[in-house]
Amino acid sequence: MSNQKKRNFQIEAFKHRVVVDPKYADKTWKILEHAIHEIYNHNASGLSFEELYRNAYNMVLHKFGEKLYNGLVATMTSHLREISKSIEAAQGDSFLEELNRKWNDHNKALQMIRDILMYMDRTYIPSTRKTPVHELGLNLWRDNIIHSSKIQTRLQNTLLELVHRERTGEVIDRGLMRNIVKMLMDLGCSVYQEDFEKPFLEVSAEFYRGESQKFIECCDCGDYLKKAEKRLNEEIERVTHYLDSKSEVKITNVVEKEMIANHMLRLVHMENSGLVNMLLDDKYEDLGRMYNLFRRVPDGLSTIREVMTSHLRETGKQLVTDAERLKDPVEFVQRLLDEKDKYDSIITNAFNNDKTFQNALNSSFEYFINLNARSPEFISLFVDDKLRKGLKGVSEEDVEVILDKVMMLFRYLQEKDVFEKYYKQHLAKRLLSGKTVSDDAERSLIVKLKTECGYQFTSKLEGMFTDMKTSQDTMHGFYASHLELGEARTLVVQVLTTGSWPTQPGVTCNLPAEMSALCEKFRSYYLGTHTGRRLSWQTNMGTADIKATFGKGGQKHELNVSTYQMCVLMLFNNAERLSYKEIEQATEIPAADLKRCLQSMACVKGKNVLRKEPMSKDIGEEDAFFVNDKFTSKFYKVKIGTVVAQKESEPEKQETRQRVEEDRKPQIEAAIVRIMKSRRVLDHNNIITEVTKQLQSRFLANPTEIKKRIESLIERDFLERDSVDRKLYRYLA
Amino acid sequence: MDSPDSIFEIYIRYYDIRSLKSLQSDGHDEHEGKSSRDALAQLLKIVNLKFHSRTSIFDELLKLMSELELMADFSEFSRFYDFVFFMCRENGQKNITVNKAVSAWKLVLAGRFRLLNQWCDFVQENQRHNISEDTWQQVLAFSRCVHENLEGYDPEGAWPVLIDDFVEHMYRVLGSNREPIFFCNCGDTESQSCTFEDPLP
Repeated sequence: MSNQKKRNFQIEAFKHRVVVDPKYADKTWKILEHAIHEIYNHNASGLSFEELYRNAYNMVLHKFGEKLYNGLVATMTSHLREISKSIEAAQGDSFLEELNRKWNDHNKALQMIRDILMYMDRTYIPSTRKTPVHELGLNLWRDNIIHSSKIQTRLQNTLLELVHRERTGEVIDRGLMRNIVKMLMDLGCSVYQEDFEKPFLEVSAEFYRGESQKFIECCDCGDYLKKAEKRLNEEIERVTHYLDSKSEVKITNVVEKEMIANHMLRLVHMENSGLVNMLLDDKYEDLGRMYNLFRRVPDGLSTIREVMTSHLRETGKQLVTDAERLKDPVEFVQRLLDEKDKYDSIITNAFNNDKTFQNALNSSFEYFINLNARSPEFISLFVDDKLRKGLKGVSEEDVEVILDKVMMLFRYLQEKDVFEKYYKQHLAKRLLSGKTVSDDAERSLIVKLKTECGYQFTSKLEGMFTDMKTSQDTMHGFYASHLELGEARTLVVQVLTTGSWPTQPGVTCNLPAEMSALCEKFRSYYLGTHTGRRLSWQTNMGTADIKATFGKGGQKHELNVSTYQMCVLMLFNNAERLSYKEIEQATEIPAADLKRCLQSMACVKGKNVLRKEPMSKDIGEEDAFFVNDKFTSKFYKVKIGTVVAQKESEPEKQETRQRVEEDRKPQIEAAIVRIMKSRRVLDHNNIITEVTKQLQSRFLANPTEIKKRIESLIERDFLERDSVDRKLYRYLA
Repeated sequence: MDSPDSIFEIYIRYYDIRSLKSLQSDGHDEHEGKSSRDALAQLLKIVNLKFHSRTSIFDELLKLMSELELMADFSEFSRFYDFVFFMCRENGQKNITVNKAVSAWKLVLAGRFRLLNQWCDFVQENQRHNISEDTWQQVLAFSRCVHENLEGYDPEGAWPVLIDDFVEHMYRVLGSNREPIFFCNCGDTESQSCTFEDPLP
């Protein structure tokens, strides 16, 4: 036993004699090959999936993977060649259908084959880095069908032809198109792009080039844009129906380029229907379409904006420089407002409230409003007109709307201080004549000016309101302390603070004795309550109501006249006939004013309370005047206006201008000193820029004037020039 | 302070006050600046007492001019130029009259300013106000950088308005008459050849 035990055991490896049938591989492949044939021939129902899978498995296991793979390639290729032939044979429309059907078949077959060969797909293929079955199937389809010489171009042409037919209005089988395009996409991005998308874009470009050429020759701008928009939408729709979504940007780019970008200028400037005409006729829809289409192309919007701007500037310039229009300031401003409204609503309705368009609008207005030096005056006159009469019976909100619009024009003005000057004059007239309709509206506008330009801009204006209020109290006190004067207030005095009100040359005319006595009483009352003040009478600004009896019939009227007119009329209480010279001597009214005043009483029909010899339109120095006994009027109260030019006359304008220039000097100097105080040393150009910037909210400072102010400041030792660099200024504390 | 007798002494005193001023940290010390200003005012009083008539001032200046080394040394000339303005001031006024300024320019800038005649004519005709010290000094700077065809003039160059107006006037003259019509006929043929463009010190 021990011997036996010591025997060395040797365990022999299990030798399973695998009897490899030399024909095993061939046999197994035959089975699989047969199966593939059956699958392609739609006979797969009789096949046993399990058996086939096992066979394939075994082949791979027994290292016949390569044989299996190569066999698959060969078999599939031969089938695809067959399929290719049958597709080629398809006539006309059935070509695509056949292709689609075969493609579906191929996909199904491929699915089954992949299932059978799954083991190979998982082990053999990754280890040998071969193409997986499914991908292989697609590649073979691509190489044998899609890229076969007889199919490739035919397919491309057919597809493009169908798109073309759809573009020309025919109905095509979109489902089929979608399937075929999907097939190209399944075969890989590059197949879709090379075999379809690229030629598709080229053909489209050509198509739209031709079409846009045709359209632009025969359509007006609006129609053209409609057509372009339609085409664009069609293409977008086409993409959603049967193209790759990535193609959308590409095809819309083609349409945009061919239909819009290439014809942009021609469209915008098209005669009788281009942008300018659309603007003129408020064609919101067309303008909106143009905006939306042009927005898609480079420089599109800037093209629209530029044309709009130059048109706006041109019309605006005509508007503000047309001599005919300058006759009526209210109309002038109303037109500006209308123009602004028009473009505001165009930008809102058609241009998507685009900020850049709003800016263009604003800069255009700023440009042309300031072309006319009288714009500030006219805007103030417009406000005057509205606050005098225009706002009666208008609701508060509407008043606000009108005032806001005026403020908007005001913002465009470069010379805001000129506006202030006129506004002050006009406000003074309104307040003193009691003509202002709504105190609330007046104050509302002041508040707006204040928020826009700051306290100093409106402090004087507010002072005027305060004076009016104080005067009421003063009058109350005056009559309370002079009870002998009775209830009827014969004299109403408004005490105006010098400086707050527009300065008037202080010429006082001779008041009638009755008046002077009363005035004296007031003077002593006022100076008694306010020591250290001076009163001077502004007889050029007052009004009077006088009772008059005319002729033998004793017609009674109440005449509403100016203080000057009152002075003249009172003279006739003691005289039948007065010559011009006599009147002038007695009243001492300045000649120009006296002539105007006599003219208004002797030469205006219906208001001619005086009679003049000789009869004529103008007042001569040798004329004589009588009370017009034959004066009649339907009304008891007769208002005799003075013949005043509402607009300023040329010399008045010059005078205002000069006052404005004079007022600017200290403001410019103050700005220079402010800047130099903080900067200490500054060069010439910078100081000019900074001063201009600082004063911009009030007026546009003239560089020469700034220079003069600098020179003056140097002279007064506020500044000095740097001893080395003469362009540098130093601040001297 | 003993009062200086001749124009030379006044010039030296002026020179001293001025250089004192420029020594003090750019003349920015307020107190010192004030004292030099006072000293100049004092000096001016003496001048006004000494030289009554206008002609005598110009005679004296001419005398001084011939003694100074003005041709070679620009900084010397520049100081002398300022001194001329100082001498032309009357009764403690800061500015000088147009007539005086024009006579002074003709004297001191002869041969140094190619547009001198045009300039003097222009000022005489168009300037109503007196000439300030700044304008006076800038005319020298202007004379040195501008050519007779106005080349070298920079409209943004911080020139006094009077000079701007002059240039504009000259452009009009040039525009209406294409030919270069002016030549420096400053009377002083000797100094015609003097250097116009000597570099700034």
